[in-house]
Amino acid sequence: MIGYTGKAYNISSDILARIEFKKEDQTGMSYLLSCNNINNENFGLIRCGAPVKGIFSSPSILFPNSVGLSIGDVVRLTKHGILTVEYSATSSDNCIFTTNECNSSCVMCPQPPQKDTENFYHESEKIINLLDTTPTTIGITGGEPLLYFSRLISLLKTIISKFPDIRMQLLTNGRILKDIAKVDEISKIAGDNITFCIPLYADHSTLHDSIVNSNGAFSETLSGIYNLGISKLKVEIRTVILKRNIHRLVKLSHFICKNIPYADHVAIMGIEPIGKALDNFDSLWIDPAEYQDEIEESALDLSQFGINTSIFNHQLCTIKQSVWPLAQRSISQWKTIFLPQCDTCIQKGNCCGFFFASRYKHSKLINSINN
Amino acid sequence: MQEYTLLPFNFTKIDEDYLATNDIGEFIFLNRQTLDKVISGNLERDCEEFADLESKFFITKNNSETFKDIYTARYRTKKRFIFESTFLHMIVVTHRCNQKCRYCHASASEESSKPETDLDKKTSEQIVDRILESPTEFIKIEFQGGEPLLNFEIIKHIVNYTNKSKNQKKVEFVICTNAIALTDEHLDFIEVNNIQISTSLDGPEKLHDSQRISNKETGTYQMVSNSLQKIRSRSKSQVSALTTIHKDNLFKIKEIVDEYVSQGLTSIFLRPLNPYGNATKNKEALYYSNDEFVKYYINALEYIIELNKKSVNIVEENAAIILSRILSPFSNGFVDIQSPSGIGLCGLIYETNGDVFVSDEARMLHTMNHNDDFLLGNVKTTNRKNWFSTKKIKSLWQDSVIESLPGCTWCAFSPYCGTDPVRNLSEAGHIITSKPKDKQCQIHKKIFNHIFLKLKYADKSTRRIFWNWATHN
Repeated sequence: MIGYTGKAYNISSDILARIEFKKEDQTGMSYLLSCNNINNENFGLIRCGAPVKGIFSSPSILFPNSVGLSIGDVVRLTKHGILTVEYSATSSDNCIFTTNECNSSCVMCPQPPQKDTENFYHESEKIINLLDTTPTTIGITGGEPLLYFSRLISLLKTIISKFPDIRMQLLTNGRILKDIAKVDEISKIAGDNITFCIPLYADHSTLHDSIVNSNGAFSETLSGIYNLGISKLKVEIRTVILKRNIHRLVKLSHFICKNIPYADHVAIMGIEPIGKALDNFDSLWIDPAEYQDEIEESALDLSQFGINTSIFNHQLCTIKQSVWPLAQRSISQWKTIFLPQCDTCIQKGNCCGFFFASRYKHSKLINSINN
Repeated sequence: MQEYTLLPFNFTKIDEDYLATNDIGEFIFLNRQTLDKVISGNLERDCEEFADLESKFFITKNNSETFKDIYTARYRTKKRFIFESTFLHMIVVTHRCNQKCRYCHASASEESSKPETDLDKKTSEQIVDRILESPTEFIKIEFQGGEPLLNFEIIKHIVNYTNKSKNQKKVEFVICTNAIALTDEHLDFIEVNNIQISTSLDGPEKLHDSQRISNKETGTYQMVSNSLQKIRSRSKSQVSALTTIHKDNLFKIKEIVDEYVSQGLTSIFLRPLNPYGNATKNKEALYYSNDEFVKYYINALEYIIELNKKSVNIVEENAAIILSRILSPFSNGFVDIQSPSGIGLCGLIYETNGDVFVSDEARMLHTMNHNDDFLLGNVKTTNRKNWFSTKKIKSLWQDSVIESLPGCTWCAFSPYCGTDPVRNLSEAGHIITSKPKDKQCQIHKKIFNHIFLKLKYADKSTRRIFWNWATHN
């Protein structure tokens, strides 16, 4: 989520608002907002550049420089002058953030739970209600979104009633779905609209549980996946490559083919060096140069078996050409950067590029492809 | 304290190590020391073998419901062919043939003999009505004979009638033909209706013509070769071929494979002689020992793998079926070797007079010896429900559940194997065989042994080839 800091006026508590209108003039840009807040104010203003003269009682923030906003965006304004874009009308990567609490504690978590737990289910419903464009897809993330189950149900109901054709990617560890009653409940509301994206880090309990830092996690996750399978709901399996699990990647792909053949999609991912992944980077990250064979064999085995397979977060010069068709441009646009050596690369347009956080932590294979 | 519970498995010694397999078709190689530790409860929790054994359901850490759910789902998946029931329906459209191959097991009659014995329209419709009673969603109708092209009119009638009556079912058609009388008119109809062609090619000219001769006693290789070229020049046609192995071509399998490659064929099915019909009459000239067959089959397989490594794409279908059973969780419908047997359950054959047999071999046994053991009924008077509720067929299935047969029940290859009661009766005089003497068993064991060893030592490129073969269907 992108944030900007400016000077706030007439804001006593957080405001969610939708950008209705923008107007450029000789001294700057004005964005007119439709608000949803406790003071019953209907309008707000974001001003970039020189301030406008006049008497104002509407909530507003003034920025000296331009900010990247579009009509239809939903933004949050705080009394400290912070503006965050909660929903971007021009992006297909939007996410709803439900809670920062989690029942797992993965060693490479990019978004580890903070000291103060916060829940955003209700806020998220407000954001949904503010949208005046129809998203085709939306992500639901956390922490663990299923942790506050009834609040999640309420959120799903809100989304489905407003956008009955939306496709939701629910990122979850699936452990709470070992209770089939919960699977049934979600299925009744939004069964056709959700893909459950569930991480599996190994093909056996000892290794998976040690990565997740929770005994019993593997068994519970498999139980959740199984329940989704028999309920005919869409399951995507994600795995993250670490130093400690790469030696079993091919075995994991076979495990998935044999035990989760109904998976809608499998994503083989590299880590994003933020959060815990950054803290423990040296013990976690392995250079793709060291596992070119393993990732090729796993991805091809899954793909030839008939499961839709993708490789995320691997630059094309770090993986073999046989698996280039499976590599996706997986990094959100606003996070993507390229390195200087990429300028002359003929595959740049097909490549996912780098996380901003990876600019100094990348494979020794990074090089311009010229033929 | 024991860290794990043992789940059921069989094992057998192969070279210096032990191959362990379980009911859901997983396999693992263990050395003797590790095997002893596993069984005595002393395997260390943090070793890679523990991880492998847990991942493949040979052991479980806790008696959780999760593993039982997945284990039973895997088992049901392996036996899915039982629930899906008969998908392969073979229709004999004529007994007449324009060839008189010396090993013919179908006991074909002369081309000029009375076409009144051909399948007629009314019976063919009754056959299709019975076929569509099968509960399976996917149906494959195979036209057999004699030479099916000699009664092409009835093939057209059946295809059209089926397409009108099939409703939601998906139906594929295959014509098993010697291809010597294949015309453009045939190919027009074949292409429009997406019919597959399965033909016989026993090798280059000399080998093919040594047994596969026309009614005028001339060779047929040139005609087959011309037909294959004709089919290849038409963009949409699908053709596959099989080889019948007999004494003349057994020792020259490499030449056969080369012939297939030069004909542009991408799969080869090395099929041993069936001991029926003319083959039994010409034993001296045709037969070979089981050991010989296995030796040359294995040589052929090695050669085919080497070709694949040089990017020549040709699949050996026997190996592909076995690899699919080992590497994928699905059941595959290779009728000859299933537990319970695929006879009736996976495949049925309908004679020109409407008689229904549990398999092609059963039909031939009836033709040879008037054996009624495997005759289920006739489409004109009874239907599928009648045939499948007889004591006869149920006991055939019960007696072919190899998991409960002595010799099979403790065999490490049993998850991938099966038996054919018809073959057993014809070769040994009993529906259930006694294992040391069972010829089919001897051949299967040797071939399984070889394939598992290949898997054990497979390098990256061999693994890629095997995975492709296992998943290509």
